Amino acid sequence: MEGNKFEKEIRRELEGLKITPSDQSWKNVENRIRKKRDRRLVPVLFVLLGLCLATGGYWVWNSINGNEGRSVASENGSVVVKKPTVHDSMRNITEGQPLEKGVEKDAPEKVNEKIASSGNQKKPSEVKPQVEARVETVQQKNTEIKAKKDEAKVKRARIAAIVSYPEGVIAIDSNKAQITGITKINSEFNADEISIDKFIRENIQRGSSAIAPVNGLTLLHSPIATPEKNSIRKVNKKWILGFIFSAGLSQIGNSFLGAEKSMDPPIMNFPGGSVNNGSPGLPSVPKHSVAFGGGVVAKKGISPSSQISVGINYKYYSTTNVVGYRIGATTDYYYSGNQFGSSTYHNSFHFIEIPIGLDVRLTKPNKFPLYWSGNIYVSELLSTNALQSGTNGYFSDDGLFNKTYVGLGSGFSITAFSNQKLSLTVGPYVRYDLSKVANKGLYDDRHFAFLGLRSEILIHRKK
Amino acid sequence: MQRNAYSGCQPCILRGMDHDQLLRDCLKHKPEAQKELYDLFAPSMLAVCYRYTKNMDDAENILQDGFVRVFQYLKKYRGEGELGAWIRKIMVNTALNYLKTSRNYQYDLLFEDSSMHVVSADDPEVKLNAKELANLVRQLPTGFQTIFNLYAVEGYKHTEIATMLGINEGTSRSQYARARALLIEWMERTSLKEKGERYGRK
Repeated sequence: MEGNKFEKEIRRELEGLKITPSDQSWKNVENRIRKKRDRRLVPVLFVLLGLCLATGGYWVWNSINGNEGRSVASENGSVVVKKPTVHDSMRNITEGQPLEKGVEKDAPEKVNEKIASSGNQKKPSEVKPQVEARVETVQQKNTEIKAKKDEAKVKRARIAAIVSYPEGVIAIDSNKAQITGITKINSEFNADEISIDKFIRENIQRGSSAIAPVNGLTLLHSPIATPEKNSIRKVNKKWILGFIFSAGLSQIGNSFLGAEKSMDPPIMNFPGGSVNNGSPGLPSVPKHSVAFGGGVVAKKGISPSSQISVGINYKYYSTTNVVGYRIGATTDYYYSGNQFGSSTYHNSFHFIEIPIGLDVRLTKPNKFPLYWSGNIYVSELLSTNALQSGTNGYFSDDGLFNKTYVGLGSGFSITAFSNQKLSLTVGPYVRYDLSKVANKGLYDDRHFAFLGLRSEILIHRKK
Repeated sequence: MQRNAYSGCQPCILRGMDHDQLLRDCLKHKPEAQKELYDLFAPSMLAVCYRYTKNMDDAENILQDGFVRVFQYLKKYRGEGELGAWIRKIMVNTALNYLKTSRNYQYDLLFEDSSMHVVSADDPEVKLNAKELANLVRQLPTGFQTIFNLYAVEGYKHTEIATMLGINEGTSRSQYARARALLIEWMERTSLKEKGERYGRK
């Protein structure tokens, strides 16, 4: 060819040809390269968002732990009061004294003032005399450097008194000057007129707003709590953090759950087909392959039987194609048609996603813990090596794939170790992406689907 | 129009004097450098794309796809060859991908295997200008057009073309021979027509 005059002349003539593109052309290029750069920021934003969620969750977690103040348990019928998690140097606890004594003689001024200012029922001297009091006071350590730094901690943990009596426990919050126990009493309470347990029981029966569950206080075998247990099912309104994992099979197809309706009319014809078998070749149908994912999740109860969740996940989907031998090119890799061999190529898809979901308990609290989960996902395709099919074989071009996907997921699960610090939830799960995989090429009008197992490990706060 | 650091020094760039700086700035995603690189190569690259397509819209689409790839893969350019040749290679690959995926072209890009080589007149004189010649090439069937461009203009060998298009080397040779013969025939007709018009006017 080199020595051929005709080709040389053609080349010389055509190489000198220049055509000025339209002004719009550069604008389109510029927009696309800016978009590509913006897309690169998306994973960074997802990671930042994840960090924010994790930090926020950690903060909420700490706040909850700090505010708990006490957790109460009953052992052999006797009431045990656990001490608050305030730094030892910041507190001075007086225990085992009658409330009136503790308040009138031993309790610090602050506590007395708070209790006294709360009206009749809040005056410690008016609480039933047989009630034993455990009074905890918090004194600010008189250090020069740490004083300001620890102020918040002190405030958070300031519980003026926790009072135990034969039938239960109540606590007095020094900030709000309210009597609290397994219930928080929001209205006036006069110890001369009614006993505390009767007051609570009557209000529970009436469904009165005068009482409300107290965060972090648990009383086992309480004569007050037990009879009413079913009528006031506890709603866990605190965020619980955990990890989520899933594994199964992913598929791409043009009907529901990734099934392939048909390949008619053929998307592509491979010229090799006419060489070997006298008929046009077809690109191989993508087949299902492994998929897995993992991430963090935060959950919060919205009713006794349901909770919402949000998180951030990494997700890996894959499918396989039957391809021929490999051909090199400048920036892409090409594979010939099926007629030129049959090796398996794994199309990998890497995503990052934000799931938002709802979990509903389908059974009663004391029964088998069966849940239904529904989720909506927003996913961003980070990268893929998936092959597209052309007239003469396969080639890789991730630009043909959509980047953002919206999908729905649903599944059932059972929970184990729900009373432990770590609970495990496992169950079958199915997902379907509403967004198309691509708008042209081999995956035109096709959707991702996933079928597999999903598990969650949730970290519950201390009981 | 505001002049930037590269304005007016196209010869310098072509000689490689500002070449490295332009590349460095493009790699830093400086918009003015990217625009300069585009302005520098777009006209000749659009001509390349034009030869592979049937209309200007498709040619511009390929040009845009190609330049997006150029900026995307610029970090992979190691300066081993001329930048223009590297960009041109990307444009050609982009054009081939476009032909394979576009519904307007993919069914026309089927190659029938034939061992029959059409014999054409050797080395006829090319009397057409570049634009006329390009327009004639574009009138060839897509398969002929692609192989003719790859062989006669880009200088690929038939073995390379066969690999790129997933066809036999013999198919590439025969398709090229047919394309060449057809083109020569059209060129001669065009010359005769022009002559006729000239004599007619006289």
